[in-house]
Amino acid sequence: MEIIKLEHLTKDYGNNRGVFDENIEIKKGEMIGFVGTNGSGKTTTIRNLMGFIRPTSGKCYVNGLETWKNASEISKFIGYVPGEIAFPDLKTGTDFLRGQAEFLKLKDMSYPNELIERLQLDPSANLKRMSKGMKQKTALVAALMNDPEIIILDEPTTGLDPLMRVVFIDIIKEQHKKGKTILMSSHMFEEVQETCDRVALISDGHIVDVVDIDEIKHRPSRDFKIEFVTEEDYQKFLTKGFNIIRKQDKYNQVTLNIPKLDISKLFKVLKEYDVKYISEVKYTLEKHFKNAIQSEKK
Amino acid sequence: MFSKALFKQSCKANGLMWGIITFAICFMLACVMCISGSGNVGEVAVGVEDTIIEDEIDAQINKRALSYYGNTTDGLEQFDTYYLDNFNADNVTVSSYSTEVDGWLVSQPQSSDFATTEDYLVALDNWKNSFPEPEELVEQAYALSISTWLENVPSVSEYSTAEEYQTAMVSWNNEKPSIYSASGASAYKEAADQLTEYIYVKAESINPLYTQDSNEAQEMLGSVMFSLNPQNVFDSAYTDCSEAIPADYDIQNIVLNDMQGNGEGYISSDERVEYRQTRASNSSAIFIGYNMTKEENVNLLLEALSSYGVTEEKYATFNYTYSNINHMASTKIIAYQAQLDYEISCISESYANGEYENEAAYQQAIIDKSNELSAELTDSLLTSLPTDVSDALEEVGKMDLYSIIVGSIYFKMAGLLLPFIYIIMASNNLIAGQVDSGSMAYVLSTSTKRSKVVRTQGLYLILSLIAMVLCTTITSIICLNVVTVPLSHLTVSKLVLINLGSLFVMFAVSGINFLTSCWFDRSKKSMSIGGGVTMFFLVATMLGLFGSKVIPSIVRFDALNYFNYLSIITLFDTISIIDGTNTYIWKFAILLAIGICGYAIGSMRFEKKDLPL
Repeated sequence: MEIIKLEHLTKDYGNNRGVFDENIEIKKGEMIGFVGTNGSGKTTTIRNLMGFIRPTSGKCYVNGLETWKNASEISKFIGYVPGEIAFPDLKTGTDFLRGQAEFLKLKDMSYPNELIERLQLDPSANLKRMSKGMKQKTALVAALMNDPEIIILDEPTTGLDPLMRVVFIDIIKEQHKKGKTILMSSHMFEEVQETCDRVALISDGHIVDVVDIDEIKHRPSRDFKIEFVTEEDYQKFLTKGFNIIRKQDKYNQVTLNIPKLDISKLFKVLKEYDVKYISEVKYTLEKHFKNAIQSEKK
Repeated sequence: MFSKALFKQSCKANGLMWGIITFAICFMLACVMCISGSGNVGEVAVGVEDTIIEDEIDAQINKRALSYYGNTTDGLEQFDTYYLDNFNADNVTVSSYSTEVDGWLVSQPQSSDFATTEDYLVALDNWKNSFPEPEELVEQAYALSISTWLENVPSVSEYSTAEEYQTAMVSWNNEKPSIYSASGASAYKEAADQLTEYIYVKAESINPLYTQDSNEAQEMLGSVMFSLNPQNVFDSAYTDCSEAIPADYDIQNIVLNDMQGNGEGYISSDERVEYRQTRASNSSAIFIGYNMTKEENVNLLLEALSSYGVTEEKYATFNYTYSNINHMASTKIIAYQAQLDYEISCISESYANGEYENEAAYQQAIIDKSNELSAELTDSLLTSLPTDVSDALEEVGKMDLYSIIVGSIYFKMAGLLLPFIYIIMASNNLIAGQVDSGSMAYVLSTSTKRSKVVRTQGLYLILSLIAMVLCTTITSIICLNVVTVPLSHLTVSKLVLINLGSLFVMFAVSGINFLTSCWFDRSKKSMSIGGGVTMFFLVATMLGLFGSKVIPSIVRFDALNYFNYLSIITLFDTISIIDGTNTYIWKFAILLAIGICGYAIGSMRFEKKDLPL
């Protein structure tokens, strides 16, 4: 059962800006990543999802409700961390969180307090003087405090230091484990690759590809890069019938793709050669999408 | 309907600004009301009034001096013409009469012709009785001079020797009155009569009410006669003013020139014109000074000014002494004449350059110019001075400076500035600022409807303005009770209405600013457009004030009044409130409508637009 659905969603700002004919279905409990460069349309898609902007054509649904018409209705299920963190004109984080609780008609503050503790956040600090990380944490607490079914995060880790990012991602992962549907946008492939179940690539306002991370992680074949000491060996190896995807004559280097099951066979062959080094070339999301964009262009 | 949480948040976000601004305007208001109300305003008002009264009297005196001058020069010119005509006519009349007289003289009986002295005396009596009967005025004058001359005949007994007697007889014969002196004297008298008639006609043509017996006609006649001074009747007036008695009005030159056949040419010659002008300017200045310092006239003026607090003592401080008035009047006359001469010389120059088609056009230009300069002057007479001055001052007398300061200056301008700044900033903070920064996302992602957001923010803005006005109302009522201002029409109920008016203005302006705040996503735009319009209204009102009715007409710039039509603050009609009329009510309704439109359109737009959050 899909909890979020984009149906031919188009928001045309003119001059080829905006998002065009986006289709995606997100299942309950899924953690999905939106990747794309800056200005590719991630935020516009999210704004449509939140019902902040009216689509030019197409529709998007959250829990089966059309988002533009039912913006206030759907926001009940959604915890939203905006990309640009700007708090209302209040003094401290506590003021802000208390206010949010009041908006949500949340009486019991134990869960937010627990979150605050987990994040090691000091909400009594002045909102204006908070560091980027603290602001991000505060915003996260605000988004999570009413335990929403769906969590939407717009580039949540941008500007965080690596340690903070780990903590942050951990908390998000935790929410995911609790069965929350999570939509996270990012311009960093590694990040989504590590955390998400599925990743949608957005480029120039189009969803170019949607990929299961499992497909990437558990690819049936592996890539290896091998350098030989002598050119003789190099030339000889080329004739062995492996699936060579790249040759570098100058360095006597070769890159090959081999099914997982055949790896032992490869090593047997290599025994007879003078190998300078061998390494596995990781197949990353980034690579996958580069290929996808290239094939799209073709 | 409304979000309590958002309302609280708006209070927290804008509360400090509201507090500071409310305190500032209440403080300012208290200062304005207490300081200007503690007696100073009264003094200032009196000071302003006195200055205006003095200016007005000065202006009226100047006007009248010119009026006299114009009237006098005109009268003297008429006199010259009449005189010349009469002189010539009389000469004809008297010359035939003089022939008769001469014949009669010749027919004087001689004692040698009669036998007895008795017979001679009878004959002499008969002869005397047969003196030609004078009919015309000039004949009478001639006859009178002849008879006087005859009575002065030297008698033999008075002289010791015959020789001396002969000499006396010769000189007596030489003294025989000429017909010219007779016609001169009679022409003078006739001309004076004709002049009187002329002035009466002129007075009535100016205003049908200026009949022969009216003060106005008498005054006009007086000003001319004062200059002419026939038979030295006004000598005492001149002496009273310690002025030199002017020489007799010069008619000899007219006679002399007439004998040379150039009478008319002389009358219109530059020399004669200048003579008349000098005489008129001298006499007019003296005449107005003399009249203005006459006790009865001073009393009339004081009576007219008494309602403006001008007492005899105060009038004395204005220093309208004879010499001051005389000096003022003569300066004005000289300046006027100089300007007229200059303008005419300009016209002459252009005539010389051929800019006028013909002589008639040139003459017409001169007449037009002098009419232009002397416009309105003919009607200004001393008799009307008290009423003219009091008419001009009526407005000033009504001027309630305290109400102007509190109503039109404080509540309509100074007191609006800070609330306007609050409105601009707060309305921007409430919507556009939050959309621009993105913090609106936190509100909207808590299942708060946009309509609820915009309603709550609007409600906050309106309530904060109401609270602000409530504070100023309380402050102003307290201040009004603390100070007692003389001559002010400001009451508590009017003060409440004025405060209410300022609330309506703020409501309308906040509607406009709320609209721009809802309309635009960028606070820069929302502020510059909403705030720009708001400040424009305020500046236009400030400029418009100098052209508005609250400023006395003497210092008013009517052109600036157009700014009042450009500002909605004009709909806050403090004058109507203070005067107690009802026109302010429909103006309030318009302000209310503007505000409601602003809020309604703003909310509709906000509910439907895309939000970049």
